[in-house]
Amino acid sequence: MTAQPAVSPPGVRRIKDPRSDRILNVVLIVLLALFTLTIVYPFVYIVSASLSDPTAVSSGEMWLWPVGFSMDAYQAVLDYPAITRGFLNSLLYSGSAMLVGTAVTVMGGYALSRADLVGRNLFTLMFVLTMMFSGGMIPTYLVVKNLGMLNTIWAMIIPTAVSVWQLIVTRTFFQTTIPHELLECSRIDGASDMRFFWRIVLPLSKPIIAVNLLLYGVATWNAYFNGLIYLTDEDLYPLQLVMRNILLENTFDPSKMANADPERIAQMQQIADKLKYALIIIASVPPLIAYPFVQKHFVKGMMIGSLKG
Amino acid sequence: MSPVPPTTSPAASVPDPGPGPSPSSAAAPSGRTMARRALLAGGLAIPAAALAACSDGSGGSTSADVPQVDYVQGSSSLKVELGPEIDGVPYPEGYIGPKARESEPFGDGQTEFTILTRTDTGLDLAENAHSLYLEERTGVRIAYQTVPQGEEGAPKVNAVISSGDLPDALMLGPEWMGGFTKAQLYAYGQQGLFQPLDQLIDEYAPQLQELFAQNPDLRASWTAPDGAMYGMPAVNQCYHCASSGVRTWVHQPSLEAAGWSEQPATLEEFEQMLRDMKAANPELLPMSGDKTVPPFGLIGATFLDTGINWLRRDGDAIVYTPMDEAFREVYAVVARLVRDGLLDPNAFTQDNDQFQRLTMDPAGSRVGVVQNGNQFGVAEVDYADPAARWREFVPLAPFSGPGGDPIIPWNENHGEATGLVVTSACEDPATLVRWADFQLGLLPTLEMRLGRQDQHWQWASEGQLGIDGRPALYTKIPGEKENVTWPEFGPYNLGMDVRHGENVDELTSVEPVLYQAGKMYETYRNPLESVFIPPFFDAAQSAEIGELRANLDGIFAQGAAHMCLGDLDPTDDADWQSYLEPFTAAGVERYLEVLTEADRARA
Repeated sequence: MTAQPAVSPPGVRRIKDPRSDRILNVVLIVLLALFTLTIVYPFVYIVSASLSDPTAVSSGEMWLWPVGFSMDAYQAVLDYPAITRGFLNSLLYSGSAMLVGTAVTVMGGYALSRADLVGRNLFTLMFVLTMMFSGGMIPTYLVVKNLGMLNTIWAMIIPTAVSVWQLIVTRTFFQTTIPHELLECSRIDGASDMRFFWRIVLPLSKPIIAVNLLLYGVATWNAYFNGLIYLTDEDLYPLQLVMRNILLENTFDPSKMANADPERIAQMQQIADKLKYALIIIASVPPLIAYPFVQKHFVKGMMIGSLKG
Repeated sequence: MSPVPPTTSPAASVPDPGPGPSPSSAAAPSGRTMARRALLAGGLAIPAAALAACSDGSGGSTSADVPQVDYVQGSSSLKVELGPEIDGVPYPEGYIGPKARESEPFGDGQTEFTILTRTDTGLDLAENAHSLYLEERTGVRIAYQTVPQGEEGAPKVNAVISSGDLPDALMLGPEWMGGFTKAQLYAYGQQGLFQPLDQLIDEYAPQLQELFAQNPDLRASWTAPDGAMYGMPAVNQCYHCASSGVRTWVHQPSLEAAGWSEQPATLEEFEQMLRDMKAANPELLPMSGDKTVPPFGLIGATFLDTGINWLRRDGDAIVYTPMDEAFREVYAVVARLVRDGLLDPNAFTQDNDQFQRLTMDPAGSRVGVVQNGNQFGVAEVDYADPAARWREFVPLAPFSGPGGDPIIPWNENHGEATGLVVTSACEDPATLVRWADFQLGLLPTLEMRLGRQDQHWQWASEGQLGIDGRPALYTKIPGEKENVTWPEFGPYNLGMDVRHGENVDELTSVEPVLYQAGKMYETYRNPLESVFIPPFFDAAQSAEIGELRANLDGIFAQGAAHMCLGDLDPTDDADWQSYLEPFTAAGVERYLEVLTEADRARA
């Protein structure tokens, strides 16, 4: 991404690239083009499939552009109240988790970045430990249950609110970009810790805030496991869980379904076939919209934060 | 895909194991944990458990080594009676099954029970017409909680069970949906998480009693080795499913194009037919299939009884048929077909989607013969089109082999599934047992499956025929249905006559053709004494054979591919030995030993 294209500005005498460079360029371009293709093609395929006649898709007739253009699939998706509800739920969960997670991470990261924090290493160690050991699913479930968060929006936000990895990246960002001298200056000018954090640190940390927002947002948007484990009320299901259920319902091996009604198996498959591509598109839209706006911060925030991390 | 072995498949509900991964392994991890815990708890899971109690209800012939529950089946009598029969229901002659009856609500309409069940696309249980019907008819209020179907739901089910945060009852469906195996019922029952229901069944379950009376072996098959029933069953008898493990289809136009006016009667003719198909249309793959269905059905049947789930009983011994000497000849034929370009080698590797691209080719089916349980696995089923591709495939009759008549492994069973289990958290299990029992009636079963009476279905009128060609009992009313039925996750009684009582025609249902195919195959069904019906395993046995069986299935799939694709030569003794070795290494002897042990205990 940071590589500069080998184009010479106008008016400057063009120095011929050495032969080996040109060969290398060609090879790189070809390789990267192939690489890009492997990313772009599945996406184009899914977009086209979602707009095609399902029979054309299943017969293999549709392979790049839509065949038998129709918006039926999108119509069908909208007809399922569970999907619209899931979409709104997911927006709510991602939005909240994004804000809560970022707030906690930025505050925690800043605290850990201050050399004068008592027990700093101990705290860091405690955080890092959770990266290597976890209580396991059932103990975690019990904790969530005893906190009374089962079947509430909080179960979707609180249990995985902070990612330790992001916390460490954020801490390192503060350590490397906010010099200690700045703190001393502010103190001389009479700023309290709070004021320093609020007026000096935060305005200087936009890249890392943006990165945290995006990462938390995307992680929550893609998450289904918390929903799966902690929610039994379908009205609270996030989109990913609704989608997973619909898509996986057709993965049963019919030969195992013993005496199940063949009609019903077929029905399940038809629904999944009809909805799957449109559903995937709809679920990818919000992250796709968000990415371009945050991307410029991405490079800055992540690179700085990961230095000496 | 599933590293976790399935916690067995008791009660012969898996007709065709195939080599692939098993979806029935959903709650397996818990099963294993249970096994370990049970052992730690001190010999609760004792191998060689005996199946106590008799179907006639004379009760508890106590087994030596499994502690029996206190209650003896049949020692109480019914406290509630079946409602009076509703007149005007056109039962066909000789009808055996639940009857349509009047009913009175018995719940207080206040107490709310929580039941954990499954999600389904478009299903909203709180508003669902069948949920409302049940509440109206029984007066029992239910708050439904849901988990996804299949393996997806397993972590949640485990969390709920392990956390002690139990709902009043669980209604998790048949094994393919991730529901409990009998071994799991037994294990959880012994831990006291599920309540034994025997006394309540004797007192409050008249529908179930009637079902037991009509199917004398049913109660015994649901009684755990400790003499207790830990669940209310669902019954889904499916006639054509008995032979769906070997059912094979032929593409009629290709058959005719090859100059055949009749189906082949012998294996030789069958091979000749494939050759003729190839000659008539070089583009055609005379035989193909997908990896979940190894193509040994009818060809295998000409040489040996391949058994149900690849298991067969020879006198006292239980045989894992892929190791049967006679299987060599099956491989020899299949390998020859592959070599001569008559059987598509991709049949061993492609999935069903890829396969259906061949049959659905716009220029005409590219496949002549395929083995699959039903039409949905063969081609896309489109009822609207009277000339649709799937209608071109007709069932291929079994043909005889060098040894005479073929032997079709006939997997006849009740299609049983766990309908409802009541947990230790429930304070009023009697009401839930009545609620489940009510659902075993004819009206609730039809409502569950088809929707509201006179809106989505009605009693059949004179002259309408059912799936089996007898006068029909009921008929569907065409139309859109949204959120009015339930998937098959609860208790219901789709006995044979109920299932066959549906008025259908070949244009809009696959059932008549499947029924006729069943008839065609039943002629050659294997003798009853060679059928191995899995006994009730305890948790330890179940975990052990689950793991062994998963390994054996994998080895079978690999070995079969080697044999058929020419890597090994079935006629060569050394190759046959090297085919057998991995089975032995994977513990086939131990596997059969456990089966025999559990089987003896039942006897």
